[in-house]
Amino acid sequence: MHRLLSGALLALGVILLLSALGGYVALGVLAQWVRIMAVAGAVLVLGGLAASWRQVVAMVSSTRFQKGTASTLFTVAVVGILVLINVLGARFHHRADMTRAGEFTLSEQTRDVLDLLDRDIQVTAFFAADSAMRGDVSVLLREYEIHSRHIRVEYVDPERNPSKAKEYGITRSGTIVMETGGRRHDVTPLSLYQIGQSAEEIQFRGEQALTRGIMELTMQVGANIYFLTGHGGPSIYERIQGLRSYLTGEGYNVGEINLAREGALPEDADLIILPGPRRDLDALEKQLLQEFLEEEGRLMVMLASVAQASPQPNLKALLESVGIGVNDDVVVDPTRSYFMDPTSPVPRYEDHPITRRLIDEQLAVVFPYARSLEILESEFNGWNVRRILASSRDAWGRLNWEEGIDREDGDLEGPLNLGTIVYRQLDEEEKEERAQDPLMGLLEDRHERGLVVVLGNMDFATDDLLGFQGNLDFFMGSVDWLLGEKQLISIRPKMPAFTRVFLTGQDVRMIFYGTVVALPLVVLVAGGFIWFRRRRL
Amino acid sequence: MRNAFFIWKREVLAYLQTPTAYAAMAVFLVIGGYFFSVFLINTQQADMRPFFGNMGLIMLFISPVLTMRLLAEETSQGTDEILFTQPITYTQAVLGKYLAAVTVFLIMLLISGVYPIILEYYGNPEWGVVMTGYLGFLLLGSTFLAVGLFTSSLTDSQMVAGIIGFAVLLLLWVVSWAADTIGGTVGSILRVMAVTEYYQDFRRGIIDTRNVLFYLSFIVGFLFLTGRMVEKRTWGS
Repeated sequence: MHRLLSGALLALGVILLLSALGGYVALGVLAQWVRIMAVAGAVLVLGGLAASWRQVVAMVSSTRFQKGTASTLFTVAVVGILVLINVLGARFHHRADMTRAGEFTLSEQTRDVLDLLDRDIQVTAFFAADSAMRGDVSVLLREYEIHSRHIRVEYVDPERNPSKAKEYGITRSGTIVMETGGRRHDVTPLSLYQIGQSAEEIQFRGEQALTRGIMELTMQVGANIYFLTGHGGPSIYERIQGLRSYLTGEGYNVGEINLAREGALPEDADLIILPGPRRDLDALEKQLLQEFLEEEGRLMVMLASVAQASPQPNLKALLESVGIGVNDDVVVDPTRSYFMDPTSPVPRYEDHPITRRLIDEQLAVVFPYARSLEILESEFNGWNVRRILASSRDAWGRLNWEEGIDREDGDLEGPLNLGTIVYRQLDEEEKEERAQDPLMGLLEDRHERGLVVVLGNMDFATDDLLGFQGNLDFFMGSVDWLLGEKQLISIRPKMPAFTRVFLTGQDVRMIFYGTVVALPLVVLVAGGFIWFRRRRL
Repeated sequence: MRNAFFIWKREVLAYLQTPTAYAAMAVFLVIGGYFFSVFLINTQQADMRPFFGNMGLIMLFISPVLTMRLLAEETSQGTDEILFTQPITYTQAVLGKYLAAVTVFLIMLLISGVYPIILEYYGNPEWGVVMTGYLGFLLLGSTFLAVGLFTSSLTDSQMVAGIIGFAVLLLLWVVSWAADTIGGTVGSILRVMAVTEYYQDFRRGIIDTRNVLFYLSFIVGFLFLTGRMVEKRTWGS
């Protein structure tokens, strides 16, 4: 009876303890009942031991028990050593990427950025369980985690865990939130994928988006962009929503402002964009913008086509003050045009950080119904003016465009300027500042400070055309260049090896029956043969 | 070491002379062939990765079948006393038997080498990734076999050994799968034990010494436990 009682006490006690443990693990917190159970369990176990005290003593002093314990301890020790080896191995491990394209190897730029990382970054990836993007992203984030101790990744399914998603203000699956010391940067799904050369080719640009995000978080900047309204051009809530989405996705703050109504530019404006203005600036606007430029504020102007725009003397005067003239023409380019439509020229690139990626990846930009620009002065007050987009030599700038596009005497001669920029070299102080920040040192070609970008076209950036080949890249590249800083890190996606096969119907049959039927049959026959021979003997 | 070799040889011959191994191989090849050809035909990609992904689960079933007789049979037939009164150590016996099972597994893998050869004939597979996948699969399978051997040492009955083996492997599999879904501390603990998680890197084409180390430790650990168990059962009360 005694034995039974103590046995029962022990058993009950152990069950209570295990349940308490289970409860703690399931709830994640030491609830009241968990505590009570644990204490009760412990009491019962001790009680059970006490009740069979003599048996316990006898057992412990027996050689069997001692040998058994020694043996158990030995086993535990061996297991412990194996665990230790693995822990050490985790610290000092070597990882080899055997894929041809190095798909799992982080680019040098990313590795540099990660090596310079000196603070912890918490990454929270909000992906629905069935998200197609999750695979690519998780593989990539794993490499980041492995490469740097400072990166910690957590996955949240917004459908399973809506409260957390709400806490972070996440509206779409696929957003990756990066946080460090109170600052936060979101990588939106839009910046993870970009269109390659053909419309079907979608490239995963996660590495670029993530590394830029890290730089954004750990460097000081975060720019404010304002689109001017009130001139009849497209709005960021309407025909150029894409621009707003992508800019916000890159971490910029984007807003609209009607300058004539407000009477002043926002104090925090880093970049002002004039999207396809059809009406002219009024005198106040021109003056405000002039002052803005004098204080080295950045400006981007995308001109509306001459058919849609009024004469715009104020706007032209503003641009003339930075050495750029605007022609009232329609660029006709029979040699470089889109789908044989000579009024949709495909500009030629001049080598520059803005155009470099487009040149490398052979991505085209199209400027339907564009105007040409003039470089009135290639240099003034320490600022340089140059073009980055040009038409072909055979193009002409049609002045009497209402009467058709055929060339006439007096029309402007190619090559025509379709995109121009104003910039200056960095002065010593700025170079010093750059040199001090090691992250800055990773950026390519950061010797210039941009001021103005003027493009002879607006339509390329509207939602209809933004997805065409290099249009988006070109726009973003121009913005990034103007605002300077980290965004110019451009990381090429890895191109996985081409492994397509082409099978005929016969091939299919052969492969299927060969592997599913023939091969196993051979094995069975061989086995049967050996078995049969053995039986004979 | 020569003793281990004798045991190995004896067991391999035993495998080759009973229908079990052939049946296991045939099943492996039928299912493997099916996965392989269906994926190839549907995706038209010269890629072994889907094959490796699915075959891991198949090994879960095949391992207990291969290992269940290794030790259980000895105990039930009484040949274990004969075996262990020979001048050989438990270590050598366990090692010899284990390596015999691995040998059969290797033969299966070698025969499945036909698949990547087919891929090479029709397309352009990434051989680095294929070989890495095989390495991972070999390690995963060997780990399953070590677990199967251990369960075989627990009992007299082959059937029971097979069932327990299957149950343990299934538990390991489920733990891996659960580790992915459960977050927090529990999830991280589970993830360490997630036998199939380490396999994913190999499938993608990454060789990480951590993963290799994990599998080898797992194998060593279970072989060690097997040795202890055999010793205990043979000379225990």
